[in-house]
Amino acid sequence: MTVTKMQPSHIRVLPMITRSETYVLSEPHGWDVVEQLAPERLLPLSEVEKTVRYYDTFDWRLYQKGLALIQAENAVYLQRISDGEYPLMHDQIEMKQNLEGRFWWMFPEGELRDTLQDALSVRVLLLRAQVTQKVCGFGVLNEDEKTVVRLFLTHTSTENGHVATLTLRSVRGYERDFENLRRRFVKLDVAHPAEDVFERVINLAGCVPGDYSSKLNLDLNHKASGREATCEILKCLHDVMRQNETGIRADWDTEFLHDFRVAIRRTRSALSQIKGVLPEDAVAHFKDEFRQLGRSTNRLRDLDVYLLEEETYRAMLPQSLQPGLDAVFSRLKSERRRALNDMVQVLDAPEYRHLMNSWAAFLQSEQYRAGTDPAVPAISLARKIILKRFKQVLKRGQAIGADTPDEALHNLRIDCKKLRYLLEFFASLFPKDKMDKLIGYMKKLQDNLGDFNDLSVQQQELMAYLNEVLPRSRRADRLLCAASIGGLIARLHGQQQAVRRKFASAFAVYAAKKNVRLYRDLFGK
Amino acid sequence: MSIFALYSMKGGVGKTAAAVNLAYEAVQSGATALLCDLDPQGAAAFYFRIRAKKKFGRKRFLKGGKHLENNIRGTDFEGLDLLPSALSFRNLDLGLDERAKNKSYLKRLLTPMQKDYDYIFLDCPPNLTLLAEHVFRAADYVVVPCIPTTLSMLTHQKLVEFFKKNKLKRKKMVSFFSMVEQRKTMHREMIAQVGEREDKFLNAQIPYTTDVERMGWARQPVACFKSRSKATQAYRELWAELQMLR
Repeated sequence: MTVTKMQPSHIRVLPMITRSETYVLSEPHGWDVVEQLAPERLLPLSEVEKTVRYYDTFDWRLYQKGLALIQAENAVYLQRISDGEYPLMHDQIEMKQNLEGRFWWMFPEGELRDTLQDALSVRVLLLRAQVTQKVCGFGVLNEDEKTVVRLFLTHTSTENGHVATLTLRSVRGYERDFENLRRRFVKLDVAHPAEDVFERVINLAGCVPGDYSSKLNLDLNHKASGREATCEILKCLHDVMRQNETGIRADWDTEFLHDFRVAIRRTRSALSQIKGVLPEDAVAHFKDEFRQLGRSTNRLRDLDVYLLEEETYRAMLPQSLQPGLDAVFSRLKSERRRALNDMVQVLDAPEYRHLMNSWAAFLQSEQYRAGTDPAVPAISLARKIILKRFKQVLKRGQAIGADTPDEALHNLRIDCKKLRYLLEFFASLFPKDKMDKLIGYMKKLQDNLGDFNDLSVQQQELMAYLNEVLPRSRRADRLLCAASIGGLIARLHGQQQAVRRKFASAFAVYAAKKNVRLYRDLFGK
Repeated sequence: MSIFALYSMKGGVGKTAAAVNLAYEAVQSGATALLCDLDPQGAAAFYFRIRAKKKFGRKRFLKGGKHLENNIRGTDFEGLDLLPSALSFRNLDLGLDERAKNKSYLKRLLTPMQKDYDYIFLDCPPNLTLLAEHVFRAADYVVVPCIPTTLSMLTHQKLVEFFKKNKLKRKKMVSFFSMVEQRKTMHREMIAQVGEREDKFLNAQIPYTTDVERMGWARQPVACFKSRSKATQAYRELWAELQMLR
């Protein structure tokens, strides 16, 4: 269940008055380059040595948007990675403390916070790299002894090594001088032209930007057999689970568990949908194990979702009824503490370790197993099962009318999820633009079905509180609580009906000829 | 963004020196500033070693937008840019008269700069013409340097009256004593007299020192070649006071 909606992103781009370009110098160049560039008219401007920390979320949300959050000395600022040394000056704030563990709402109000809100959403900041930088600034002077270009020679180091970079920065109104100097620099041939400065600096700290993403970034071999492809998909999901363990244990934010769960669900979905490529008894065994593992994460995630929605719930009620929710949320919070404990215990238990180890070993052995059965190519396997699932979605969807019970929508939602997973598993075998289109259509329908389901689950949870917890409570504000919950249920129910009314049109868009033809073209024989 | 206009009807009272040094102080804390030289003498550009582009003049200035922005040049100090003047600025009045009867044209020219700068400083020529009226309307504060002499104070009084007559906000006008020589009795007495009246004079006073004159030789703000000069300290205090204005 995902109720959290991402805000549309609109990163404010400040006008660039100056041009700035940064190059990684090839070894052993450094100071000599500056001297060669402007031997006579060079004015030393500044020399600073500082510790620089780079922050981002676990899934590199800032990096994905081309941004870096940097803390140097006491200043915290965002930098567009492509601009090299040039910070977004207006976004600078002063903060001495380590920013690890901060969410966007823990920053002072302003542009920086707004940008972080858009980019981070519910994810927490982690310290991704820490380096030492020595920056020497120089002004290149013209015949009036006026600075017309600025040069910055930066030595970045960690215990892993050292890299020298040179930044050329223009002075407003002296662009021609900048261009001349840049041309002279290129002629010296001392730079790695294709080298990404930001990545190089982060790498020094033993870190690879973008090394984790909750999306499946598979690149399946077009000639792979069905078994090879399946193992590769499952191995990738296995890695996602392992990567998120630490974050769940440390309770950094809610998305570690979310990604962990999605990986489990995808694994189960792959095991049950991709038939005839892995030994049946093993598939049955692991399917069962992962079902149990998945189940042990349910309660914690549900609680996370309610707590993330606290503000939304409150906003649904008139001011007079809002205090009634305090009891509900304080109860949810203490329940979450227990649920987290339970979850950590599951991860620490020998059963979990055994499952993951045996699962990894199994995938490895399967991947290298010589093809005993004539290997079906992955691409035809994918075509077959995707088309089958698509037909089922169409059939089930078309059978839904205004009076069909909610159950049918629930089943359709599950089918859609299965189809979506299949599309994502095998996306790299088909043309990207067409797959993106298909997944886009799919997503719109799933949003409708997902909202419908979320709203129904939330009502059930509140009903359970009303029926089971409240009658036993001795709270003085029992009546107020009941009224608040009643009010919420009514609001949620109204919303759910509205979503249901929109289903027909959402499905009609999905089942349009254009989309059906796309499926047939891609996956039909 | 705040716009400060350095203005005086009299010449040689330290307008340009104040504009240059205040703009320099303004960017020391990481802010960005534009110094706009409206005086055809072009002294501000000289202090910053900047030559205006050859084709820049009154016409481009008045066209505004890109025509104006393309002629802004960075100084040696990061965050501080300068729009140089040109000899043809001596006729700015003519162009302004054609364009706007409501005397807000200069303000319209400056508004797009808001995105790039926290502060704009206008270095104005010493006369009370149409340009001055545009300046008074464009500026958030009209900062008037005043030498503490009888004649100087008389001119100052005239400016106050002009503000009144033209329904300009008196609050906009702030003054400070410039080229103060403490050893002169007349200066001391004049300052004391003004203190008794309620005229809006800032506390900071710029002393008469050769350091300010030497700016023409060093071609830098005073703080850059003589950081411990009394003038440096005075400009810093003056800027601190101007920043506090609300």
